[in-house]
Amino acid sequence: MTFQTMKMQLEQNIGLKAKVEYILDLLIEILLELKDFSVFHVITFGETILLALTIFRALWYAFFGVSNGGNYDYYFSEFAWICIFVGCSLAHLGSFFFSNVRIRCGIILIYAVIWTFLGMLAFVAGTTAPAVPTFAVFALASIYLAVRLWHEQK
Amino acid sequence: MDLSLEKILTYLVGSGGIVAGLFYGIKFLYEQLDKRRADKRTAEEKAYDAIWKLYEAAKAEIEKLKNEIKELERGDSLSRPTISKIYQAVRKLGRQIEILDSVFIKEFLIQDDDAEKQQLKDALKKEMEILWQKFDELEKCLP
Repeated sequence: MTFQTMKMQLEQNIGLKAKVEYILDLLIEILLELKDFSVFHVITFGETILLALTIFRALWYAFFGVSNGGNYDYYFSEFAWICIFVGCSLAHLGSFFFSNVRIRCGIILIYAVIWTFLGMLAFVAGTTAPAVPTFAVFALASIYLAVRLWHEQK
Repeated sequence: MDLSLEKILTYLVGSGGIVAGLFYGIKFLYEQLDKRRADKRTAEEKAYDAIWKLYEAAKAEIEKLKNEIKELERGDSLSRPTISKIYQAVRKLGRQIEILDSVFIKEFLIQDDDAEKQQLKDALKKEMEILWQKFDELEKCLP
C-alpha cells in the first residue's frame, strides 16, 4: 500500500465520520426543534398517542381493509372510514399551527365520538375481540385530554 | 346482521350524547378538583398569616414585658404582687410560645417541593428561633 492510497483511505474515513456526525447533529437539531414546538404548543404525550392511533387506524384500513367483525362497513364503505381517519389526522396536525387550543379540543372530541361509535357497532355485532373495551379506553382518554385542553386555553 | 339506517343514526347520535355527557361530567369534576386545590392553598396561606400574627404578638409582648421590668428596676420599690404579676405574664408567654412551637413543628416543618412555600417555612423557622432567643433574654431580665 502506497502512502498515497493510505492518505486517500484516511481522508475517506474522516469524510465518512464527518458525514455521520453531520447527520446525527441534524437529527438532534430536528428532535430539539420538535421538542420546542411541542412545549410551545402544549402538545402532550397523550395527545401524540391519540394522533398516532388515528393515523395508524387510517393506514391499517388503507392497507388491510376494514374489519367486518364490528359491522363497521355496513353503511360506511372502506373508503369512507379511510377518509374519516385521514381527515381527522390532517385536521389534528393542522390544528397544531393555531394558537387557539380549543380547536384541538374539538377535534379530539370528534375522535371520542368516532371511538364510541365504533365501540357501539362492535358491541351490537357481539364480537368476542376486545374491541369494545379498547375503543372505550380510547374514547375516555380522548375526552379526558379534551377537558385538559379546554382548561389549557386562557 | 341487519342494521337499519335509523339504528346506525341512533348509535351515532348516542355516541355524541355519551361523549358530550362524559365531557361535561369530567369537566365538572376537573373544575371541582381545581377549586378544592385552590381552596386548600388559601387555607394554608391563612394559616401562615395567623402564625405570623402570633409571632408578631409574642415578640411585641416580650418587648412590653422587658420595658416593664426595666421601669420597675428604675423605681425603688418592687412590691411582691408586681413581681408575681410579671412572673405570671412571662410564664404565660412561655406557654404560648411552646404551643406555637409545637404547632409550627407539626404543621410547617415538612419538606415541600414548592420553593416558595419552603422559603416561607424557613423564614418562620428563623422567626421561631429569634422568638426563643428573645424569651431567654427576657427571663434573664427577671428580678
